Amino acid sequence: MHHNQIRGWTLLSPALIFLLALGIFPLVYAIWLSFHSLNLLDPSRGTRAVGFENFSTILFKTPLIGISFPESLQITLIILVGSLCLELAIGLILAILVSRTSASVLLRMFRSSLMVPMLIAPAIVGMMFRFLFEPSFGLIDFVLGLVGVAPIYWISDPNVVLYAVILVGVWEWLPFSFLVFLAGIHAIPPEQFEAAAVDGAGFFEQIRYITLPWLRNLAGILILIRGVDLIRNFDVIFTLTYGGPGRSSASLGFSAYLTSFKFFEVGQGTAYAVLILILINILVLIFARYLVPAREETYGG
Amino acid sequence: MEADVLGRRAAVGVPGVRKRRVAFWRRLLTVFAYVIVLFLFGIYILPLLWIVLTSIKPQELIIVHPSEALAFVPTLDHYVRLVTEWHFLTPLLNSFIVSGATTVLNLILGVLASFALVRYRLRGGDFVSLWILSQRFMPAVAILLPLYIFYNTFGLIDTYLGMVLVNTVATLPFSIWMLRGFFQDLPKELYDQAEVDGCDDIGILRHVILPIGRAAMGVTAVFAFLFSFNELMIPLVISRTSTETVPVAFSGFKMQFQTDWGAAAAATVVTVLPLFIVVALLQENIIRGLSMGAVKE
Repeated sequence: MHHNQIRGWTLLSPALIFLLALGIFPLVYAIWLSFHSLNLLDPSRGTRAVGFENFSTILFKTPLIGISFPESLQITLIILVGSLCLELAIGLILAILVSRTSASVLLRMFRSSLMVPMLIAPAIVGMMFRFLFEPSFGLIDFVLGLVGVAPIYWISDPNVVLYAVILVGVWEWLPFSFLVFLAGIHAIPPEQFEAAAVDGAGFFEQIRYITLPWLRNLAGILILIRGVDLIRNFDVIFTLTYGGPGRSSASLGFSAYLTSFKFFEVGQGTAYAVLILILINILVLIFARYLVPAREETYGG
Repeated sequence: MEADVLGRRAAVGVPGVRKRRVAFWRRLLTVFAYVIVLFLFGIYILPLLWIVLTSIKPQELIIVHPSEALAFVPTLDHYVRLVTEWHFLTPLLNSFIVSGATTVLNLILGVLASFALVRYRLRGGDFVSLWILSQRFMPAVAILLPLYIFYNTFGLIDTYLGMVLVNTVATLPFSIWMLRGFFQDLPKELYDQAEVDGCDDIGILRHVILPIGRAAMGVTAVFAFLFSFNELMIPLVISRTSTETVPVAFSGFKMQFQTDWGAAAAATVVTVLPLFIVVALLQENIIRGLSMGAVKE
């Protein structure tokens, strides 16, 4: 037994050492830096400990990049809540519709074109949609124009830009929630629906009392995976809007990047990163349990 | 079990009127579902098709109203410019080198670690597994600034080694977690049989896991490659001109006054088309991979 322990840890150690050295050590250093003031563009300023000053600057004042943490957080949360609600709701409705009808045969032909967008680099998707969103020559306003909608300035109108970001995210990730829910519905034993039908349960009651409870775990997994990605959201913002117009779509990830790697204001940049990390940890603490026990159950197959 | 059989028998005996009404609604629902699926298909295929069209349009037709640009003589101009003016082959090659090496490193470290986690009842093994899982959710921005400072000190900025190391930190937790799930799915008898046959643990790894887990490692490798390939912030910070990758090159198509949409479209086609092959190869493993192994179709 003891022998096995040593052997096991030996096999595990290369990966662990790697992750500790290049993941945890920099993280600890980042936390240390967040309590200091230094700027890589201005080494003469030196490094000095400033306590919580970086945090109070980004939380309560207007930092260098021109948008405070709460404002950036609000932008991120709008995108997060908007995207998640749309993805979960539409994905669920689609999955129920398709699983209840013969449209699933039709779907099988299109499956691969639904899966490809999820694998495209978000940076490329962002670039692609910047082209499609163009008011004068883009495809989207052209198609909307066919049904009589006046041109929408998706990227240049600060009141619309967040909808554009949400739409792009939903376009890329709707198939994910849809196909996950579909797999979940297929894993429900058909006897449950049959028994419910015998008891006189209609379409909506069957969904309410059988389908939805079965899918709760999967919804938790989707919220976890997409939620974390949306809090870190950077790639699409970078290529689609570059945080603009002005700073009206500067998500947390984008603001942290700008502070760190355009202004090289190390203390404030790492303070941003620490706060993002705390937010992600809250989400992981709440929803990770859906990912872990789910391993022991099987969905489909 | 008895209830199921009874249930099925009883279901046959539903009165005829209700049956007809149900059939009507069912048909309506089916028509609706077909329309929705076709609509969905349009939403996903039209933008991609439009990009393909744009990539073969003459330059002067790209930024005109779409209704005036439907008939044109196709041209490969943008693909030529992509190579000659934008030197797109360099970032493409860089991406393959960095992601390829990252994938190899992922597999070596990942197979050893996940085998250890599945094979031995390690004290603290569950904790380590969860910790590795939590690392998957770490934001790159949290470690990039310190790494940038170290890299400057050790001369790793704009080197393949530097790029591969960070990309591996970002993808390894995923790989270990996926491989662990796959190895757990292997029947336990395989391990027992190998032990009876006199294999030691390294023997089991070599003669059982490596041949039988080949598909699992293939799937994990493809995902590690894609995650590394698609990463934007890491190369934006760590690479300069000589190790620039594809996503960074994309953000560079913006010129001073106008984006070079023709070249951007051509580059999109070049990078997106191979993904259809990836989808064809991975099929049901795509959802499993994207859901961290939680959803098996």
